[in-house]
Amino acid sequence: MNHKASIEFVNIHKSYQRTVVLENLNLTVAPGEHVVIIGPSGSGKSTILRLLMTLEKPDSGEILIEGESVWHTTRDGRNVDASPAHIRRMRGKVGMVFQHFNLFPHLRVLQNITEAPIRVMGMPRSQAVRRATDLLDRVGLADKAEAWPAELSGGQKQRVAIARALALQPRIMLFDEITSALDPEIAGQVLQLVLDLAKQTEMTMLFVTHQMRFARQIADRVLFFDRGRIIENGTPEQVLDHPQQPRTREFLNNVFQAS
Amino acid sequence: MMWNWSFAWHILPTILHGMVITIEATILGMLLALVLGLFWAGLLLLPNRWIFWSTRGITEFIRDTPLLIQLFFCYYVLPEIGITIPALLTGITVLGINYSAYTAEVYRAGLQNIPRGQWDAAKALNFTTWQTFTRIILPQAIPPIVPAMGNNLIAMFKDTPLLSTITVMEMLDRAMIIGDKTFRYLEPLTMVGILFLIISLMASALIGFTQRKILVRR
Ligand SMILES: Nc1ncnc2c1ncn2[C@@H]1O[C@H](COP(=O)(O)OP(=O)(O)OP(=O)(O)O)[C@@H](O)[C@H]1O
Ligand SMILES: [Mg+2]
Repeated sequence: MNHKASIEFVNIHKSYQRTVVLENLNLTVAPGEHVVIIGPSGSGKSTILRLLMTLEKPDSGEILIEGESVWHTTRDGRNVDASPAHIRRMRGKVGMVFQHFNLFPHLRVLQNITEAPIRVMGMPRSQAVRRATDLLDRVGLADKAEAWPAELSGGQKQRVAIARALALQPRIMLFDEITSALDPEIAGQVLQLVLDLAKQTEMTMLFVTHQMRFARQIADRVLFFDRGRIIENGTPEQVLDHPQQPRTREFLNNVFQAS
Repeated sequence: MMWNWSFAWHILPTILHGMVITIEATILGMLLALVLGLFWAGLLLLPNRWIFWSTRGITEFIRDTPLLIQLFFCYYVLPEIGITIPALLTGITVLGINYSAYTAEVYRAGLQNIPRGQWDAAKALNFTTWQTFTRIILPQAIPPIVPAMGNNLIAMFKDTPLLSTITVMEMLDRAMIIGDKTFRYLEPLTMVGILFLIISLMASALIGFTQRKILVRR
């Protein structure tokens, strides 16, 4: 398995009504790689993650996860639309954490985490509860299992959301500006948690973030994205310290001035 | 004409009997409206234009034609093409279908208030669309629409006298029969009015209570 790329985008096009978001995008991510995507607002960063999570469907091109096409299969030597079952199986390899947490407000913290393992994976309740309790412990919220989401602070909500995504043991984790809605201090704590998690697993991870310090710490590779294109692609040192493109330099200047 | 207590007392059992039918028609009609309305609202969420517009067409048609004509049509016209349904069943079904067009709108408003992020999160956790709808979206959408559904329930209750026009022996029908036989309309009609008032008020109170219960729990 390991010789295959974890993620491949091949000639991906994506537009919403009139706006073209991604045009002819090619991108490969190796197994276990940590890739940080940076870029201005509206450049299509979230769209990449949403495509991978199958929340959006590409207009054309192929998305491959561990060498397998997400949306197509070959039948009788021809490329045809994949079945819903195939798409669900592929979706099961990916997990996502959102900017606005998106916890289920009508379920207690523990249930937020156990619901998918029980309903989706068919895991026995006792095992799901044990796993959820372990995960809550790992994100430092062991005492909040019976709380309602509304009773948690933003930072705590995001920790629960991380535990909830991890409970399904995805091969690929996507983090879309997970600290943008948090105070800087709380954001730092959540990012530290993610850094610790990243060290402990072999998951492939994609991050969209505006936190350059975090990007430097976690990234094997940084992509600078502008208007649906990869403008710069390299190690954190290459992209953040020695950007080749004027557009990247301008963006980084703005970000550093802001922070 | 003076109010006659002993006459009122004498006709009370008959009217109460009618009340049972009224309540029965309301409850069964509302159950049908709740199920069918949810079905319409669900169809309106599907990403298919044809389904969307046909559903829209059906619910608009139901809302833009008078309930009375729908009742007459089903009770007097359908038998001519060989479909004969008992009066009470016709009444309940027509009430339910009619109100389903209104409950559908209430459901729709409730569903639209659920942020897209909830759908996204459910999909990212690989729930099926059905699981997402029944376990994630509906449980959040329903509590806020309880009052609006309650208003529909009371409105339907107050529409049940229309069933007397297709020979259902509900409260109003019985009151009119008594009046026609005895030439005293004051007592039966007053009693029916008061019973409607009492039950409506009790239903309002119950809905308010349910709503407070839901709010406290969250
Ligand atoms: N559902 C949608 N319908 C229409 N347009 C959309 C939709 N989602 C995104 N877009 C548009 O697509 C473009 C890219 O959006 P995307 O969310 O991927 O940007 P982003 O890089 O994540 O920006 P940000 O940093 O603000 O989150 C934007 O112009 C946006 O307005
Ligand atoms: Mg975004």
